Amino acid sequence: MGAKKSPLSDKNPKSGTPEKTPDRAKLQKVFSQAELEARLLQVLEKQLEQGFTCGELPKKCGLDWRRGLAAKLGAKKPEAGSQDVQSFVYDLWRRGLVFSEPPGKGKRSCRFWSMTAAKAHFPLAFPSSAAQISEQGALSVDRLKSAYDKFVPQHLGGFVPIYKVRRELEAFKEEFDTLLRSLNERDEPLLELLGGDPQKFSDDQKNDSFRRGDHLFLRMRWRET
Amino acid sequence: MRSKSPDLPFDPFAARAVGDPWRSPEPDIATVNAQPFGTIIQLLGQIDKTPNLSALVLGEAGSGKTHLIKRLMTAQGTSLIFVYVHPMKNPVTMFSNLLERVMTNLDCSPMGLDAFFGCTQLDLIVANVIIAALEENLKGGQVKIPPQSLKALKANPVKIFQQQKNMAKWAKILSKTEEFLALKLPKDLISKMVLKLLFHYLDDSKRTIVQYLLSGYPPDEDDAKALGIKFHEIDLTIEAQEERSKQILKAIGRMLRFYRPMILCFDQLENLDTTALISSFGKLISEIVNEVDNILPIAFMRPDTLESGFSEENLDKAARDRLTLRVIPLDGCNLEQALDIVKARLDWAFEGSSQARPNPYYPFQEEVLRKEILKDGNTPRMVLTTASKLMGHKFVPEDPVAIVTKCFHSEREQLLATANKEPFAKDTIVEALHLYFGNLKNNPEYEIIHFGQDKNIDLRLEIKRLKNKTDKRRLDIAVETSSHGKTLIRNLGNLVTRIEGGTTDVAIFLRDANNPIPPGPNKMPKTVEQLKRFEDRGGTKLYLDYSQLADLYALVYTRNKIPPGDLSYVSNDRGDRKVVSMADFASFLTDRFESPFLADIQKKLLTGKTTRSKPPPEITPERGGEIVSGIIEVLDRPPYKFKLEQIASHLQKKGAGQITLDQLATVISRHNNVIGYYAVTPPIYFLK
Repeated sequence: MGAKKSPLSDKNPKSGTPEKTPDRAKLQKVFSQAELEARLLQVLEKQLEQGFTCGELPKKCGLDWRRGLAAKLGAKKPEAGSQDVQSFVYDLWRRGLVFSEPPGKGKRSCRFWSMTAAKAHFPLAFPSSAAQISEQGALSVDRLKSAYDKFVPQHLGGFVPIYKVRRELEAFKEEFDTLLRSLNERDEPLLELLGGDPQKFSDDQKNDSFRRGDHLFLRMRWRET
Repeated sequence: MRSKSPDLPFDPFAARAVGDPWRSPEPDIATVNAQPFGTIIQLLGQIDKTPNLSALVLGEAGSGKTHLIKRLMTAQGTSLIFVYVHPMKNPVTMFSNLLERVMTNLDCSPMGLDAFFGCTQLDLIVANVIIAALEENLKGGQVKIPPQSLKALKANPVKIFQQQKNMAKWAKILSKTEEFLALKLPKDLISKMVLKLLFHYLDDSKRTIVQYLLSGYPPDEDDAKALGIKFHEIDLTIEAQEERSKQILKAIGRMLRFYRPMILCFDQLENLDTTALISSFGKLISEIVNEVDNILPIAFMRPDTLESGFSEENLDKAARDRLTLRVIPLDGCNLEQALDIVKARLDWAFEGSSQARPNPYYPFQEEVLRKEILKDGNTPRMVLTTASKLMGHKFVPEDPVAIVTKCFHSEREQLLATANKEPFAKDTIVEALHLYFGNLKNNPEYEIIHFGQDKNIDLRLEIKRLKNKTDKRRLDIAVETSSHGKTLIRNLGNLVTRIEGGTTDVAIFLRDANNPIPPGPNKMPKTVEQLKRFEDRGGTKLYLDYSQLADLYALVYTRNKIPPGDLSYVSNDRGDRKVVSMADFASFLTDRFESPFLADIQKKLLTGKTTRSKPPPEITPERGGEIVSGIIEVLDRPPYKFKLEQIASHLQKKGAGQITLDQLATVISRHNNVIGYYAVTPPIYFLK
């Protein structure tokens, strides 16, 4: 996009001359995915104080890295563009290999840190024990299903009271409700939400159940597939 | 309630629980709860090999329990004998009550069997037993039947009854069948009696007495003589009758191996609201599973009911294990099933209408339905409620007591209009009496001192007027179904003793108007004498006709819908619904329920006087014919579906004279071959 057209580029058939081809081949090293990742992480590890933005990172990684990324992606341009770099870094972040510091405090874009540096600078974002990770980690379908399954033997037919599962997971209310909704509000629901008899539940139990508009749902049941 | 769309003859989405499946016409969607249905059919298929089976269907209110029952009922055409059991409310007579329900259901024509139109489920059992015997005799060379004839008989078993015209031949067939069964079944007295009675059932003139005896009641000397069964002194205690009922059920079960298995659908079990009832029910299920062949009991309840009422504390472990042998949970709908429900309901409403529909979902747009129909929830009832909301009318919050009132009137009208009359069921009557008189506790003028029943009396009530505390009044009611002279004399004697001992102010002997004392001239002289003694001492004999019975049954059936959450009302202007409570039912009883017959007993209790209201004159067959022609004329006009009041109004405009709604419903019940009704609230009548 914003990258200047390289004078060495042979992508445009109207430009360049055949005799320059051996030089290009010499310059364009083929990087594997692992090598690309290793170089970027190495660069991040060296910057322990500020982290890098997506604009700074490719410059620090070097021309050969940028060209290597472009070659790996099959890009028409000789060097990877900023969007290519962003996608590459996003993938590392998604896999938990880099830390992303959101914009704020005068910083207009995300800054990326090595995980080691981030742990020192952002301790609150890194709980110390595995138990804490389990408690505060994102609520997943698997965790919900495991918690639900735990109560199935006590509730014939699998009609488990919602409050029991909610209390077992100790999840944030919104997060839990959103997950229930997402599993129920489908053309082919995975999870049934059922009314039940409110008189058979205490106020506390009702509060820990699930509401949609004026409807109170007291039990859930995983549909057999 | 909101007004219904002018395009629709009636609101097909009106939230209404299905109710008694024998009387419910709502369309059924086969894909909804297809798996639970398949599981039950599978269990039935294996019951001859693994006989100790039961099933428990669990589902929330509105998840389609009664629809599933209805689907089982329509499966009678192919694979089963269907029996629907209302909640039983007497813990000491569970087997007798069950047998009464079994006999009432067996006396109904099976649904979906057009080839056998007019015959009952019991006719088919008898016919198949006879054909099984013929087949066996054919193998042994004792009879000769051309193969084509046997094939034709097996295709339409009731054809065997045509042989009744030739008395000698028929007697031989029956005797061969008896011999055949003697080899196959145990030789106990009850099995022999059941078999004899089943053969007598084929004689229309004896059906009532056969049904009565097969319900476990003992025969008196006259009955025994008329039916050719051996009369002997029988233990008349309740325990003995329970045992007899169980043995009869076992004998019927054994005969089913020559035909098809039977399912007993126990619905609305939320109404078993005492530990004694739950425990007795558990025992009943255990005994059926352990001792009765070819009969699959299926209980239907909400998960909350299982976990609270039928918990391990209330039910012994063995009984609970039997009850929960096979748990079948009900599923909600996916999008396609929800759309199928909406489409089927619309087809139902527009059936027979000449109105053009631009698309199958008219008046909805399909894309709107797809987006919205599962928004509030995915049980079938929630789908209907959402469809009702999507009709786009303005909702007005409803009065729950008015909903109870409508339900009562609808139940009552259906009882009168149905072709299959409900029998005189003692426990249902007693329950209605308890509901009505128990509600006096809400009357600020009286204080109830004693309310209950004992071994001899079905309702004992003692009240005190609050204005004058010395003025105490006592009522005793005995509901009598027995036709056995000895029992009648003893029970009347109990009432006489109470009157003579001054322990009662009002003693009432209630009996079916179709079963008077004496049953015929010069019959039961000793019982007649005892009845006279009772009346001479101030006792009151009341014969209940079917319209009075309908008051009582409709009251109980309406009440039975409340604990399972089957009655609901619009609670706000967004169309959301809430379930009707027992407090709403009590308000209905206090302020809206009217039964001249019960009001009369109450008046007698309070004042010692009665006011006999004159019943409307009977409709003669000739007038009935005229009326039915008028009804057909009305129903043959657009929109081809009318409420009873609309029919009455049309008839009056035509100068048909004075006719009450009860009479109109009764006339319709006699012409059910041409006039049908949808069991919505209120019922809608149409030409078949």
